[in-house]
Amino acid sequence: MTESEIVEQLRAGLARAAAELPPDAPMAVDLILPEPSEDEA
Amino acid sequence: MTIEEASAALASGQSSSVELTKGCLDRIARRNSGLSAFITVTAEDALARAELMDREIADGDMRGPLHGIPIAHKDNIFTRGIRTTSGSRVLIDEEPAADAEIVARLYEAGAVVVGKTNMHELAYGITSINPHYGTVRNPRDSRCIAGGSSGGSAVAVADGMCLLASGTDTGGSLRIPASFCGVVAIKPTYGLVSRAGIQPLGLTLDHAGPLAATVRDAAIGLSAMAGRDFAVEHEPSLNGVMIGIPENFFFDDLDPDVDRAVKRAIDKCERAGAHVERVTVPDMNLLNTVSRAILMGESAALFEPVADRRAEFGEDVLALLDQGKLLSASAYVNAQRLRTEFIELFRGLLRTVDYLLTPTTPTAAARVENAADIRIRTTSLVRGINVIGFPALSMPCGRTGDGLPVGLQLIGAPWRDAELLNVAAALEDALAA
Repeated sequence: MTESEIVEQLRAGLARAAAELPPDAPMAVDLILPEPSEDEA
Repeated sequence: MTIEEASAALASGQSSSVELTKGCLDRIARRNSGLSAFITVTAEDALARAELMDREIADGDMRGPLHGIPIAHKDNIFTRGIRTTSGSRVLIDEEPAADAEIVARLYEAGAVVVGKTNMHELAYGITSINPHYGTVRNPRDSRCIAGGSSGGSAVAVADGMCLLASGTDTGGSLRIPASFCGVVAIKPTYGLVSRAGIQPLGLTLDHAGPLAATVRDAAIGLSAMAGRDFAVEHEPSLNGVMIGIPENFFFDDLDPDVDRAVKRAIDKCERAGAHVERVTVPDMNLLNTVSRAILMGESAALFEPVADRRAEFGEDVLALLDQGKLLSASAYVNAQRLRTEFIELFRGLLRTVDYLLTPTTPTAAARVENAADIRIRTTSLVRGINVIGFPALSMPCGRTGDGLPVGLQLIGAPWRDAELLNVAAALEDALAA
């Protein structure tokens, strides 16, 4: 398979599976907001 | 010699850190040209540090079980003043300005660094056939690969070149070489061990952890890396522990020797008092697809600034970086949405049993010449666990007919790393009995 075909296969598999998720299914992210320091608050 | 044994010898004055360090450096001098486990050896610094550690012991100041113990760091972990390459030609830092946090913590615990270990280029692969620094070879059979990407670290421990080594794991890179070389490695819960000062590969998949000869030694290493106590209890037990054995996926495509060794370990668990339950795991093929998409996208983004230096990358890494450039944003977003779903599914599963027990890899180490196209199969049982971030440990459980090590994987619930290590130590005892 070419690089494009490998990636297309991945994309299609993910799209099919994600279509089964509820529309508001959250995306996993790494975002952790620090609490404001005393100065900022 | 284990860390526990070496530490006892240091505490009693039967041995010194200088003796231990010289022993490791001699071993490296004799064996490294054949195994390519180390990229950089820091003999002079190590001996000076060992002398200092011995003086502290003589003054009655022993910091803990890693005091005076020779260790090594994977070469994608930055070490102040010691060249750090990430196994690559494009990311060489000849003189890093600062230590990674885990390096600083291990120094604080009294460890002596004997060098930096070879690895798969950029940690992006599982063979440790490195086009720039040589092929890391398996000390159990030098015709075979060591596995990767933390191949040099696994070899260094397996061959007695050090007693503990650090490594990283983005899709199995601690557990695969541990399995192939017959040592223990734990990929801790995501976030437990700091990644500060470690060259990233997959921004939301990378983990750091220890490789060691035994579960108890790995627990000592993790304690220092994480800054909290993971020491194994005096008499760990499997009694009453609920162990889930997947009835789908994990045992579907195994070499017979691997299947036999892991099933023997399951039998030992039952004899030692564990309750073994057959369980159905979520769609691992889809989880592995999620893993590949996230890693492709994140690594392509990370290495975009150097991606035009194509001639300086190995062929396999270049192909993966090219795939990452072609991946659409929608595929990455869908992968991250599915990830959330998988985390919930595995949380539910680990409410019905305490641990999952699986093989680490479907095969033992392949011959170097056969290692080109084994990445997808070799990562199939481990890479999904990086997506969910749960702790997972690989430990030896037997050998193939050719004498190559076989590893099993224990997967626990998030932040249950201490319990996971205790159960693994109990299983280690049961396997040795």
